[in-house]
Amino acid sequence: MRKSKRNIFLSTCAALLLAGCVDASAKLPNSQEVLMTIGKNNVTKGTIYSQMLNSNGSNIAYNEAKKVIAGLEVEVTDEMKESAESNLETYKTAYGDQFEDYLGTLNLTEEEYLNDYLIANSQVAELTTKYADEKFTELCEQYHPVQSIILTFPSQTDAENALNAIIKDNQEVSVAISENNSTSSETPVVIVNTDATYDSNVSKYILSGIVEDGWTEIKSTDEVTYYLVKILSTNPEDFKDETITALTNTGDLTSDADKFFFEKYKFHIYDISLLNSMKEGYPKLVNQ
Amino acid sequence: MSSKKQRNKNKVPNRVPVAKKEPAPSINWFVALLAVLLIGVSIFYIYDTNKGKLKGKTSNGEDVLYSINDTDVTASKFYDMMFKQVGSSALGNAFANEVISQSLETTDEFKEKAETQYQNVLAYYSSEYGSTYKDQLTKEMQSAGYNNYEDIKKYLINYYKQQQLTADYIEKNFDDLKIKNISYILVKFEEDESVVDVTEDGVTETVVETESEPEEKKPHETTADEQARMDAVDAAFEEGREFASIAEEFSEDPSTAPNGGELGTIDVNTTTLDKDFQTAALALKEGETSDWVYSESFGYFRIHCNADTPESLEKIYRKNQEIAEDEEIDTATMYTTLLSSYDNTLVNKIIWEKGQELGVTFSSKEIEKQVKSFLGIEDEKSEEETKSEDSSKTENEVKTENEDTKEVTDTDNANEENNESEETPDEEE
Repeated sequence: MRKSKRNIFLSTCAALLLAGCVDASAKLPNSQEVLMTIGKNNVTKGTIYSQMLNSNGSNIAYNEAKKVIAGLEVEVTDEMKESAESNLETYKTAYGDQFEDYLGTLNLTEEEYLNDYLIANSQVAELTTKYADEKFTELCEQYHPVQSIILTFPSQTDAENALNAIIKDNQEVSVAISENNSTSSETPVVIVNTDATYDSNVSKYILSGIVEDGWTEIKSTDEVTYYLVKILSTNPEDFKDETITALTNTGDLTSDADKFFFEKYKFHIYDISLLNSMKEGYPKLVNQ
Repeated sequence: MSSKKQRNKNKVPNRVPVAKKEPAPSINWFVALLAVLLIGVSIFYIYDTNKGKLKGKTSNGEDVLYSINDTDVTASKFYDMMFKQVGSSALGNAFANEVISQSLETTDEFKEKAETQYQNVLAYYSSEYGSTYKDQLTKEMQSAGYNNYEDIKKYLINYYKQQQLTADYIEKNFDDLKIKNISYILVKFEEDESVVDVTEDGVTETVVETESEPEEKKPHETTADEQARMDAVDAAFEEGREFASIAEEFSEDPSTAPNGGELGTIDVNTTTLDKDFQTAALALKEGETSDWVYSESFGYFRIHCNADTPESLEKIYRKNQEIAEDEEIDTATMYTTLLSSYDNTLVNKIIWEKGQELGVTFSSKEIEKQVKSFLGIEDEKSEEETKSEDSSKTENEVKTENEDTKEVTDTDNANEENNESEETPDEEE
């Protein structure tokens, strides 16, 4: 009697110990279904599932989840539809007779290609813009956008002559540019603090927060090129659309947007293989 | 003694019950405390072991892979999503790996080659990727249809088996494959064909013709400029110059002219070349040069066959890869390398045919279609249609010049011999 009680006790402990000691793994029903037989061996659905999950699972999960989010966050506009239909016609013309074969490689019908591929991708592309718009104030505090005009000249003489022409002679900026060996545009640009497009002396001046009226002459770091810079505004609300465009072009914003939306829509993984591959490919998206 | 005492003395004395020895109270407490501690530690251990583990989820009896916006994606739904996008390559890889694995016995030679290469691979990846080399190798193996980096040896054995299958197939089907190393000279169309000279009432005027509808498009007429350029090439041939030297000087394709006009090695499976060009090239024998071949897309070609035998192709391979004459080469590697630019379907065709030999059954037409799509195998019906189209093109106008009757193994040697005697070109019937 004592011995049987002890055995029961030990078995219970062992069972409790083993129960839940492994990470969850989502099993495919009908995994033993044979898809093809080659010679003496079968290739089952489970084999193909494992292969696809291991090599492409994280990318597909990410893209499919992002499409769901984009469908909820971004409305399909008439402009998007027209653009997608135009792209469809372009591809059909380019591929000609091969277009059906091309659709075959994607496993899509023409309608699916339009809706689930072209339009869906347009919506996904808008997500970062949506994020920039939603988080506008915070992002401006982080990136300090400034709107300015930047003119580039090959020498100090050219820069000074242009400056004199603009200030003293009231010459049009476009004329001063063309008459002084510059090919710059007087279209305003938005600089953010991660922007590496311009010479660092120019960026440093623009982002310094010091707003001076009129034009300022700046020498490049290599002392070869000269710039005339005019800061138009440091208040991002004055140039919101341009700021959003500039922000969406910063390197990290897309991944920050992904993190925001994946958290918002409670993306959660219940399979250890997928979790590990997501941690490797999309570490920002996985908090588990 | 009184009788009472006497009686008492004779009585069997009453047994006095011996009191059981009770354990000391401190020992009971100790055992109980131990038991409580043991259970407590077990529970904590189970909790601690499990708390870091990923918890699963089911939905309507099916395992869930992930959820987004409170919508569960089950394993079977995700299988369908993945299959739509990458099912073809997963099936194709699985098919190829099985066919190759079963087609040849795993000999000691394969194992030794794989072991040697395995060490090289490990050394390379660990120097390139440091501590993450296993992760990198796992990615590579998974994209090839294997599970993780531990499958490298299996992968390598299969790789060498595939090489052997390729070499054996080429040896057996060499003539049918028409493997040829080709060079060419291109004379391009004159630029801006819409600009033409129009003479009316004795007055010549240069006008720009408006673009006509495709149905009304006139066939290209060789311009005087184009003819002059072609004549210059013909004159160089008549001087007895080598094809490579003429190509370097006159060919108007900057990608091949500097290399003596060498295109590379093609065969019947090549699909990326101009149809007219390819038909003419495949009709040539080693050492032969075609007459002008018109191509609607590019202009005019003269095409030369540098090599079409195993021996001459090996010479080309050794020259291009800078491999010494006395150095051993692997035939399979040689053909795979030679054909890598213009026939990347040969290996897949071999795998498909081997699969048929082993015996293949598919659970559905869809699965078969996916595998064929991955391997680039056309359906039988369209293959026959393609063959009938090709046979009608073999009578396209191609004239060949026969060079010296000696077996040509080196085009330089052949051209030197041509310089010594005049040859009469044979015209194709």
